Amino acid sequence: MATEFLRQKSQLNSLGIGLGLRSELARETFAHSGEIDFVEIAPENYIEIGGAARERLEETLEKFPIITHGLCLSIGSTDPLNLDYLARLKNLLDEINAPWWSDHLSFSSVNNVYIHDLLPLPFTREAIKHVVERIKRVQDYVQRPFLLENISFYMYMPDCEMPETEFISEIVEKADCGLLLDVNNVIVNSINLNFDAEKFVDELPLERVLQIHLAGHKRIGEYVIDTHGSPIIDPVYQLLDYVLQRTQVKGIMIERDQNFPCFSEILGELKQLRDIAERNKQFAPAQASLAGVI
Amino acid sequence: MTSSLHELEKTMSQLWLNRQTRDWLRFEHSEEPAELAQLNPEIVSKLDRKGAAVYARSLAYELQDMANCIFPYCAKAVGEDWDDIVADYYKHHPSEHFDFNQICVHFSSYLEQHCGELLKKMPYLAELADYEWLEQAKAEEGTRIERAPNIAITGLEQITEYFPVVNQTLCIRRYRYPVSEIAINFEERKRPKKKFAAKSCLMAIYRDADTHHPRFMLLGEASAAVIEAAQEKPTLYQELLKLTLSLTPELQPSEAVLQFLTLVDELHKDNLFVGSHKKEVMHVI
Repeated sequence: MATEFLRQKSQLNSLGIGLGLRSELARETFAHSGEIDFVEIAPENYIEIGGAARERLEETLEKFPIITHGLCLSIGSTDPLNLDYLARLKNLLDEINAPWWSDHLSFSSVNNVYIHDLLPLPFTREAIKHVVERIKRVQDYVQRPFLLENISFYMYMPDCEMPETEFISEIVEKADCGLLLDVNNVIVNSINLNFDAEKFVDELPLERVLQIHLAGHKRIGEYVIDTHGSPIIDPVYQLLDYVLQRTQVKGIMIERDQNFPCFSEILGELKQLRDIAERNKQFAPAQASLAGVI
Repeated sequence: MTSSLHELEKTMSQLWLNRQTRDWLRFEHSEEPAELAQLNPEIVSKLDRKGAAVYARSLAYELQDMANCIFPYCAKAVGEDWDDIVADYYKHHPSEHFDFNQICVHFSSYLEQHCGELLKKMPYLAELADYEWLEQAKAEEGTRIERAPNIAITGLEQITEYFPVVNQTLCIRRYRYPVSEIAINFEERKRPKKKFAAKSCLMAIYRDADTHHPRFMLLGEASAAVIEAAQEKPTLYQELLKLTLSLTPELQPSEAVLQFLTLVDELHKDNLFVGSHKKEVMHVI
């Protein structure tokens, strides 16, 4: 079914292969701008912050298209939406002219206290209704395509009424927003919670996937933890390939947040993403651009 | 019975944010804390404790790490009680801002209000916390530093025609204890001193316009008065010179003028003054 989001997706230009901007990697990211098509920032690190962060944002703007991936929208929280945060976020999105923006399908605040972690929601009808209403409100306010990311998590909340895929699918379809598919999170969850990663992907509305995240993870004790601090492993690349055989996306990128390697290692991972994307004929021109040419 | 979304979120966040229940999750064989009885028993009974422990460990680490990173000297000063103080601080001041760094904004005032016994032993501690907090805060402060033309203030024409632009991130603190000396002590000494006599100091704290690093500058009374006057409103160099003369009656006028010009030159070099404007633009600043 054609929806406003799918119409928007068809008209968006592809961003290509990108990297999460981190202060520790910024100099090398700028130096290799020819090999990186776009960058993604955590808006909380730049909203009304000055000094070195501000300078970094300005230099990034000169070199790359920028999108944001937030941590504090707390879309699943039963607190009122933080309108002050949203207003500041909107200012930033306007300044960088972000083609889209994203946050996580989680909650991170309760009773106006921030927990500063991405906490899982119960997969319930009530949560779907709540999250859908809030997504519609933030979309109306921000007026740019919004993507929701599937999170990594380590426990099912009590009282779940359905599988995660059903929960995600209903939310993005009813809210008519996009999906930021983190294939590393799918792999991490599939190990910790014991499910089939490909079957999980098959159950999602892949036509709504606009962007894909990849990262590394690490086993710590009984759990595989989504650390963003290790090289990307083959099953994550394989799941990317599996997804790209089934849908067209506009951006694929790596998140590396700690235990930073030699930058050539990251460039090697970006090259692998590019090869997989090319093999799957990704990043076709947007429909609007084609119409203009014709 | 199914719990409401709000009840679930509230219960889980209490479990993770309360130190006693968080530690109960973290340490598998620990005894149930009394605080557990205050939470929704149905939700607690359905809890995947092992999975919840992953979040408990992560939160405990992140909260402690944040305080350790921002207040390394306070941590060294307090020693083995540090973790307990940090936990109690978060209980009194949970995070109300999306920027995680802001969680420590009240730490200095918390020490003053809740740590009387500790402050009897180390009365400088709240000021040291303020100093360490400002190091973090000034580096990130959203205020833009608006520079003005770099004019050499060397003669009568510049003194009568120009006024300095003060670095917009500047704050001046009047501490009762020599906090920079105390900070160096904790930074450099393997066995740092923990007792310090009161010795008031004036300090300019701001972000360098070039490097973006926080800067700390010890000031004399006259220098502080000049900077504060220039910060309060656009003030011609000649007015600042008059102020210097009035504050240094022990000096010959020629010596005071020389000291003033030296001070102005140093403030420009140190990026505390970030240029000068002509008096014609005073009304638009």
